[in-house]
Amino acid sequence: MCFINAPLNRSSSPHRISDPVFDVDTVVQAIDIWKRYRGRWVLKSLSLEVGDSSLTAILGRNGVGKTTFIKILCGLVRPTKGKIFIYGENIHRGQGDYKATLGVLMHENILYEELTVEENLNYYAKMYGVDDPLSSAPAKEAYELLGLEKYRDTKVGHLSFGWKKRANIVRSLINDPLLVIMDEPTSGLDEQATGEVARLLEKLSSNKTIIFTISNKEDLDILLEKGIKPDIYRLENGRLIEYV
Amino acid sequence: MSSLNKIYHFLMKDIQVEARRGFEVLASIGFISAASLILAEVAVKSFTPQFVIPGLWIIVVFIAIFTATTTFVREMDKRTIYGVRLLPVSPSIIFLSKMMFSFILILLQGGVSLFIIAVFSGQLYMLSVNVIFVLIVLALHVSAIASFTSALVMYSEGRAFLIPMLVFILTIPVIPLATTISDPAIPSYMTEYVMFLGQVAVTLIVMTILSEYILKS
Repeated sequence: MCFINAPLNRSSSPHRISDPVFDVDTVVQAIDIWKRYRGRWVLKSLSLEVGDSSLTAILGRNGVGKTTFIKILCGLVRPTKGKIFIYGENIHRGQGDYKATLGVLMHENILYEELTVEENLNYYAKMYGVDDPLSSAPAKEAYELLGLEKYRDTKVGHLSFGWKKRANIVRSLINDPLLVIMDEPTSGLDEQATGEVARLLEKLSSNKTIIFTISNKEDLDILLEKGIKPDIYRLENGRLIEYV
Repeated sequence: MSSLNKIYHFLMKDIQVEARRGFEVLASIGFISAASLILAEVAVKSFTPQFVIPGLWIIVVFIAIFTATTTFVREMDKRTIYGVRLLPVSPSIIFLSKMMFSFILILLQGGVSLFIIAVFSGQLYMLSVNVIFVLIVLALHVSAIASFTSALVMYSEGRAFLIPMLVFILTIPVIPLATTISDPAIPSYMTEYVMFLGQVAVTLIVMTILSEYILKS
């Protein structure tokens, strides 16, 4: 695992996979992650290694710790024990440089309900140092594919759960991230929208590393039918098991 | 993008969100105005004009308590805090943006309170440069404390109790100095101004440093 200690040149962001500074083939490494929550071990010695431009699905029932793992993976929650490296940076110890390369879709809506979809996207674009939120090719693709145009001027608080989810998906791609982490991207979506998300995941996986969770076996089947071929793991009893 | 630019965009977003929830600010200004009117009326009726200045600063502390519930705590309630924490922005910038937002809210409401108390109690000296200067510096001080408290307790289930307690305890030490230098009936010297400004500066620095740690962890 020589990449762990490899210094990164982060002179510009967001970085592209073709950048010579990322001469590594492992993007995410979770080592022996344990998490105790309200007196219960949610994650027990969980380890995961994800390579470049790969697509990884984590399947698990509600309450098994998928969201907790996603939050730990993107640095929002500290594990009780264990380490996470993203592009060689220990995310719970470093300066947070990895955030510029990361796009995250949370299970909850994290857009401001008082602002319109467009205002939210503009705000996040500015905070990522981008003038136009749709200047990022994946964000534009998601925006068009998911049909968000018609709700551009609608306040997020007035959108249904499914449309909020779509808006959050576009938000997660605004910075043209190298690593996309999505917590249940298909939950609350109808079959057609799930198909659109599958198409999006397929397109994104050609040059991005994607990790997503899913709780519904039927949704996973829809994704597989659409031709995406993720490495699938099942989260069970706090551990990841390869799913066949 | 420069840090100032980021603070600006963050602040503008907060102002935009707050403007869309205008009823809350208006309700708060309404309550503050009522409290100020009562204070002015009591001062006139009981011939105790010496209480209007410390009364005003106590009102500012209460505005800070209200403001503490609108910064990090609201982001946590709405889960938008995750979006904030995922931004490639230093925690200090996030803290300073929130502090500026609190400062604007506190100054706006404190200004309304000052005007009402001064006019209705007949103590027009309160509209002097000296009192307005103390109001601005005190607003900066309590906005730092309000933002820090909000960041500190946002994950706590007992925050409804913790916010008023912490804001009150942390702001009270500066009130006697603010009163001394703003009340013309009390003789004050340059030393007291220096101590007042020093106390505010130390609070700003300590709160910014601590918030960096709190928001990271």
